[in-house]
Amino acid sequence: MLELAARLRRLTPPALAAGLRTLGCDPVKIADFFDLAEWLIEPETIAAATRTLTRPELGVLRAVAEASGTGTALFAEVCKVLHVHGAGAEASTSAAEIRARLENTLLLFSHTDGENDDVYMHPRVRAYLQDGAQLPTLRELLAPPPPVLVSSDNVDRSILTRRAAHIAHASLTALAELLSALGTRPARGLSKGGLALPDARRLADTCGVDLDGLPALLARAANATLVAREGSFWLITPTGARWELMDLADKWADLATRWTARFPPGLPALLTRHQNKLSVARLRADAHWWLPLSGSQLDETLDTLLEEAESLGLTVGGEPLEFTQLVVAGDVTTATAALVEHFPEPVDRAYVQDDLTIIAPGPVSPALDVRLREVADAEGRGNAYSYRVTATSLSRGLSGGATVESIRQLFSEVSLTGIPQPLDYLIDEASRRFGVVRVIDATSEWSASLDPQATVDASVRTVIHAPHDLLQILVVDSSLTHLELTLGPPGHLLSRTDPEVVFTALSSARYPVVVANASGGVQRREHRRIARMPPPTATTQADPIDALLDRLATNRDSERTEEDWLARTLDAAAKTKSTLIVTVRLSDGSSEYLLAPASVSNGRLRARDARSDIERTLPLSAIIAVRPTTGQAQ
Amino acid sequence: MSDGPLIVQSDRTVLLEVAHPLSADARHGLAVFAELERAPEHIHTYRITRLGLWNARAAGHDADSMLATLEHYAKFPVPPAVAMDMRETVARYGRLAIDRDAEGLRLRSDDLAVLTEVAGARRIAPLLESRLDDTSFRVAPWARGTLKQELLKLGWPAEDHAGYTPGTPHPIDLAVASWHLRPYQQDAIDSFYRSGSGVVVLPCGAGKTLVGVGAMATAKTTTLILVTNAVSARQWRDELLARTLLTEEDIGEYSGQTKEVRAVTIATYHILTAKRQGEYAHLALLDALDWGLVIYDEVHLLPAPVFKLTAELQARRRLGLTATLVREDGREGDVFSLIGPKCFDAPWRDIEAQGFISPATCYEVRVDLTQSERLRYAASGDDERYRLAATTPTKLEIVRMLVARHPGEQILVIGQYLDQIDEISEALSAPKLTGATSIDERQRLFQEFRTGQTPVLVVSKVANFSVDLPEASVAIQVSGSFGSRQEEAQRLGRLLRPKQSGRSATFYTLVARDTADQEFAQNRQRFLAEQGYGYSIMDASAL
Repeated sequence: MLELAARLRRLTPPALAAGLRTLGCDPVKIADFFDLAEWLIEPETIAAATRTLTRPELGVLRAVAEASGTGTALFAEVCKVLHVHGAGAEASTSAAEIRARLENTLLLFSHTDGENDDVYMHPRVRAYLQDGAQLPTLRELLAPPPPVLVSSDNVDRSILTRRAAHIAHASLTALAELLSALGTRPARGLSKGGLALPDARRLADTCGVDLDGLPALLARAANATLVAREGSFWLITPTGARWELMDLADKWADLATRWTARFPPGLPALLTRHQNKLSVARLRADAHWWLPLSGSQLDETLDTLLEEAESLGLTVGGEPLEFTQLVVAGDVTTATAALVEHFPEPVDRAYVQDDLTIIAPGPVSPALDVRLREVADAEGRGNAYSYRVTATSLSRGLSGGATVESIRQLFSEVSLTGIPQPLDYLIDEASRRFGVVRVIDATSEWSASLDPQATVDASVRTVIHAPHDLLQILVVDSSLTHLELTLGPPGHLLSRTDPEVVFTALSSARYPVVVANASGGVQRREHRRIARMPPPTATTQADPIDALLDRLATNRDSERTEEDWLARTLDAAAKTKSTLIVTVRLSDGSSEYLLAPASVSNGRLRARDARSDIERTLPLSAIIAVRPTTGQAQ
Repeated sequence: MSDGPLIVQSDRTVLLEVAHPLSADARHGLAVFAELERAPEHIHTYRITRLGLWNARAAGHDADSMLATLEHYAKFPVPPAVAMDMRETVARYGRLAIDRDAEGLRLRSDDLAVLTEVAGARRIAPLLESRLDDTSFRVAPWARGTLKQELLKLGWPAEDHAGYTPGTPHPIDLAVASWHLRPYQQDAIDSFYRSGSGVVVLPCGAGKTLVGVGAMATAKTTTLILVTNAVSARQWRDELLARTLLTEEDIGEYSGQTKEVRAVTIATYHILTAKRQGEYAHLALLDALDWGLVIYDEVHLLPAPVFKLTAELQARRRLGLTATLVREDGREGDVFSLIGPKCFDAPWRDIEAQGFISPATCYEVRVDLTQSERLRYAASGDDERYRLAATTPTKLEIVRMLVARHPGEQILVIGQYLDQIDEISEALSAPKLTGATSIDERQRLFQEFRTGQTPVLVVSKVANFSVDLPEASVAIQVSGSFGSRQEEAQRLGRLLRPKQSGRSATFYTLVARDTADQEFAQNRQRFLAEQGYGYSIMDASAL
């Protein structure tokens, strides 16, 4: 461990940071390089570090393990081992590249000094690779990949493409509906996972999916960070709100890009190998061959990615499409163009009918969809979109800032056949009723406009303002008795109930109610709730890895910590019964001892001198340096 | 893919753009296997259901032809899941068949897996007596109907090839000198007879009774006609006497008042389901004669117990007549398996276009309650509110004004509450007809109304069904059964008979503004608009 801690200490901060991030280090547990070294050689850490390594990378590691019987090996020896086990002539070059990548995992350390070019691997890592990991032999690791079976199916690719486009379109529609529904009303998540049943039913119904299919849809939205859980509720995220406004092509491109970003290492190469047929079983077998230590986590990742590939129309029943390869190769733009060519053509006009439905004979552009949803309830989604206008939806639009004129203007713009009389009547009726009853928070400055003589009990929390005739009705309304409404100053009713509760009760009783500010003006109600996610630039808290690096740098640089480092080194050697070469300052110069430390206390080292077989006690202040003996087993 | 008039949605609905030049052709093709759900003026909505597909399969259409219709007229590609589901569903029909050999009924299938699956089902095993061979089971003689019901529930509807008893022959001829069947009525009869049993769907006013009469004249056998009420029974009797050469001696009425069993017997559902000491008291009627034909009028209203009885009538030809296959109780499957698949359907627009039913315009008239009425309404409990709003005296004045707007027309005023009907009857000096009115009195009042002797008739819900008032051109609905869409259709149906005067029909609904009356009215009026009737809202003050 001493050697490992020393090598970690010699790493540059960027190299150390890269390694720690790759390994997902939890900095809370780490105080100094010894803690870090101890954490690195824990079996779980080694397993996690090797889980994402590819076959060639593990081959090099295995060769290092074989060559570094004493902990350190010349890299040339490593290359020789590779050759012996069947690597080709280019092995040295590729091994050098791989070595550079492996340093990020902190599983091996290079040291190049003039003509010396060696690599170091901690014995526990070596033991894990040789015995604990059940890794294939080095020759097996270096063997070429098994051939891909080429299916001879005579599949009509045009049918597949149309089907893929249909599936992709349906998925985008369902996701957009999910976001819209969560934006309007967040869904309650359960502590054991999943959604509360009423919300699940609502969302499934809105999105046009089975109740069983909803968790997968929600997971896809969450994976793409379009929705997030905040406390007990699932909400749309700012990313989701932006995604909602994209057109279908951009929506798909965005999801496809996010899909590729979650690939495990090497997956693009595997997907390219499976140009012909991408069955889950074959890809899983291939992926496990490629990432031999990946374990069950890889299965979960693959399942998720393949399921998302199907939902994006990148595969149909495992069959990759022409644009799948483009996406895998990073050319999402061309892939998008190839796919959306098969989407239904968007429309910007619709039939507005007597039964108060609006039916667009095709998908509506997102911008128009948002405008229509402000004043109408979305009903059906698919190749055609439909909406229904109700008194409630119009009232929602009016309280959201729309005006009668803007609503008429919208319907006139959209309608292929004018505004039918029943809808025209409904708009007039809605505008006539809108805001007739106003709910005001009694804690606001509302009473300023009243007669100064008027006094209102401090326990009053809500004030209702309405025409006199209507106030009389509200007072006797049997469905509002729980609000305990009392007559207040002229034109007002008072209640000790919260304004929100009063508003809800009046809405449920179908009174034309709005929330008003202190001066009685209609308060615009925000109908969408978006998850609070900090913007990427707002760093209110330091990155924990950076903080750890700062801690370790302090350790590395200060004199005081030099003493601590010496003490930790000797203490660690005592615990592991290791032998060290200790340089001690003497009055006439310095001397080196080969010591096996027994303990460190009160500023003194007690150790057995391995050469003279006597016990020595040395003040720590006299010790200039310690270094491991070559090949010591730590 | 064409730029056609159909849009097929993943939820199995199909939208039809009415204004598209190919919409009529597409509608004809689509009506074969999809049910029309809504028909407002611009976009009609059809739904592809299992029963609809099986109805089509029973009529000889296969999945390829149905999909070809969709693909030919679809604007966008048919969603693959819909196409796959259609193929699978259609393929289920007819994999099982019920037929008859010398020993009795058999359940047969060449698909061993399906046969084994259904034979092992808990509710089907008791209906099968023994296994005959790899492909067939012996069916209990009494279980033909029940077996079809249970197979449908399992999703394996059986084709019934077991045949029908011809019944006792009885001469029934049409009185062709005075009238003739319309072409679509003849088509419906022919289609029914080819199918053996089944349901004819025609809109209100399209002459469903005459289809029944024509079917009887084709079968020429003893016939049992089951109807919704005694007035309807009388009307059937009158039609039979007028349209056929049957005499009064040939026709019997089996109802609460009379118990006659003759070669043609008309019975009410009510009497058939009446119980005495826990037992159906009039079951003997079903076996009183060797019926060769059973007609079910308004089959969407067939009471549940009648299904049970009908299960035992599977050896008789059965004809269902209705304006809609949709049942409020969701038992469309029982109609399919026990009466038979839909064998004929004609969209009302087609019939209207031919001038056989009258066009109608609907108005919702919003009435303001007075302040005292509003206070009383607000102070009332939920259970009282609808009645208070629906029966507001303010409506009475509006009814007067509306009646005055239609001089010389035959006007029905329709209400739900007897005291309101009394008040209106008195205020308009018009006769009233309610459940308390005797059958003879009802007949007299209807007859006076038909002849024009009585221009305004105030009626309760007893006049909703099966009452033929061809000259009624105005209906004023003052109150109804909450939000019943079926009631709305039936009431409007009273107006759809073509008028000799050539007038189109007008249907007013009076609604108290901002009350439960208005909320319930929304459901009903939405239904009317969905059915494609011209529909406007107006304020009473604007009259």
